[in-house]
Amino acid sequence: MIGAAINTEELGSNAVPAPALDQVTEIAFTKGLAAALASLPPARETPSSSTFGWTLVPSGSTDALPAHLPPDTLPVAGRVAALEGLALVQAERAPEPARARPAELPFILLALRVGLTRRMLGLAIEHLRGRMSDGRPLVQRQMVQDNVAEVAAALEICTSAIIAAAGPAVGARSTEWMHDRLDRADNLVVAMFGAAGFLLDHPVRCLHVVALLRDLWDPGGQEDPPC
Amino acid sequence: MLIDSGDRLRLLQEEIRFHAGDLRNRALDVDRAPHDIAEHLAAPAVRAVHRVSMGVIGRSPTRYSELVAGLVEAARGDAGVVLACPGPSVAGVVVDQLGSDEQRSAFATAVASGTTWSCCGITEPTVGSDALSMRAELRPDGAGGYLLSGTKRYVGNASRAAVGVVFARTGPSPLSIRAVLINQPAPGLRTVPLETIGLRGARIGEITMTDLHVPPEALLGQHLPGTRRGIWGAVKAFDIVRVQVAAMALGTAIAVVDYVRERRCPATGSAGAELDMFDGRIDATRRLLHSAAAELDAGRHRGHLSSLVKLEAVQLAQLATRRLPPLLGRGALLNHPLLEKWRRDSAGFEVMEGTASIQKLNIAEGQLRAFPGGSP
Repeated sequence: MIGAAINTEELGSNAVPAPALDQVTEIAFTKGLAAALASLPPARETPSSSTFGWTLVPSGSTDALPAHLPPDTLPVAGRVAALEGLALVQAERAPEPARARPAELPFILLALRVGLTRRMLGLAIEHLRGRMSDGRPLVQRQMVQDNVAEVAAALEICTSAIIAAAGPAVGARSTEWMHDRLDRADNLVVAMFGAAGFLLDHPVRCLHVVALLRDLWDPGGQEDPPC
Repeated sequence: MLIDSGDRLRLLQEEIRFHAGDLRNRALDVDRAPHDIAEHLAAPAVRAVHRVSMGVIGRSPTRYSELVAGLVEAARGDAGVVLACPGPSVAGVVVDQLGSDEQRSAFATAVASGTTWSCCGITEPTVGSDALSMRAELRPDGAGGYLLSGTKRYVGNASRAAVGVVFARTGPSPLSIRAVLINQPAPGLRTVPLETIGLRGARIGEITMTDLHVPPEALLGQHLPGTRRGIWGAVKAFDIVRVQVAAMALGTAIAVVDYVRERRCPATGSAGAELDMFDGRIDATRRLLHSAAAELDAGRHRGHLSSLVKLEAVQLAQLATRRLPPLLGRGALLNHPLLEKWRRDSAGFEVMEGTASIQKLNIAEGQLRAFPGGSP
């Protein structure tokens, strides 16, 4: 498990005390996405908005924002997020400059992703144990086990990387490779559920919502602005 | 002036490319409200997709090449809208493989108007795509016909289809799996739509049949040898449909690249290199796709090639929808709902006609057959 708490002294006087990353992982693992987000200090509930002002916040906290809900024709992204206890809102204020974001935010996101992917892997293994093919549970198939192992390896290496990076040099290291590993792991986990994992009422939808959070909190790939 | 097959393909591509913009304009409406499809049916773009889709039950010697060329261009507009369009769909592929001349003709007539959907029930709730384990039953009714009972899940356009094909077993052996034509509405037939994450235009649903009466003329494959009457048709249909899924995944990848490139100009540095990399993979995947379609046109069903191109195209679509939106800045998925939608859609391509693991098994089987004696 992740044992490192953020050293807030390294973040400057404006830094908001952060929870230990292992707590974020643990809550995401045991209680899911909305609970993990709700466990963050208030300043971190609305850490980033898109360049057009869109953001995702825990459903109960929308009143605290100078924001308005989208019209009745809620985009599907908003519906998926709502099922995970998040509200898609468009802030009326100007987008927050990237440099004002807490430096540890990418690692909070990664810790959350690790917990959530592990939670979904557990559900997937349970699903695969009950699913038969040619008289054997799918979980006994070598190819399925290969995929389970790949997801497990991604979770462990990312956990290790978060601990290694989330010290005094927090924020200085690239997180992109970790997101790439977790993206690949998430794709594998979603596929383990087969077509059932493509239904809106399936819990693995949380991994689609996490992709939106990553896009807001730590998108990477921005070297110069779009035209 | 003579028009050869190459010219025909180019003309078809140009025609569908012309309509792609309109398909894209409809994408978010169909995604948000896939049940409100009636307003789109008269659109020339939707009619054009219908014409392309009719190719699966046509007689052109290059019909699969034409079909995939059209599907790539249509999916550059939006794959969700393509899947919402009425037409023969997977059922048409099965009828083409297993139907008699009369059955093919009747089915083609039923879906020719451009306002009639069809559906194909193979997958079941408890056994997924493991077709050999299906439980739906087809029992004699004592009067020359049959009674069909069972449940099929994840069936595209199930709730709005007027005609369809359902696979069921008449006994315990794999050869006892047969396919029948059904019509909706009918006593003993109930369909409900299921809400999906992506490709919502496909209006995936569940079919429940309780002693649904099937007349004898609705049984497919009676004119074929015993080994080719049932599951053989499903396997062949999967080979063909996987190529179609690959075409739509490739079209989606191209759509993402085009969309991002148009909004990020000039794309220089690593962003430009990233887009260039996708251009290269798109060209390679397109070539592979057309090879697979040409093999089908030539009557050579090489299942591992269909699986290979599906695997590559779906991975490309997933990669494009994951890596390229950040080039448009923070929160690009929320700022650009089409990019967010295409990301969800790409997850749907993964589960259509088997996940990557199933495709890899097929590819490995093909390679093992190619090297029967070990290394060359």
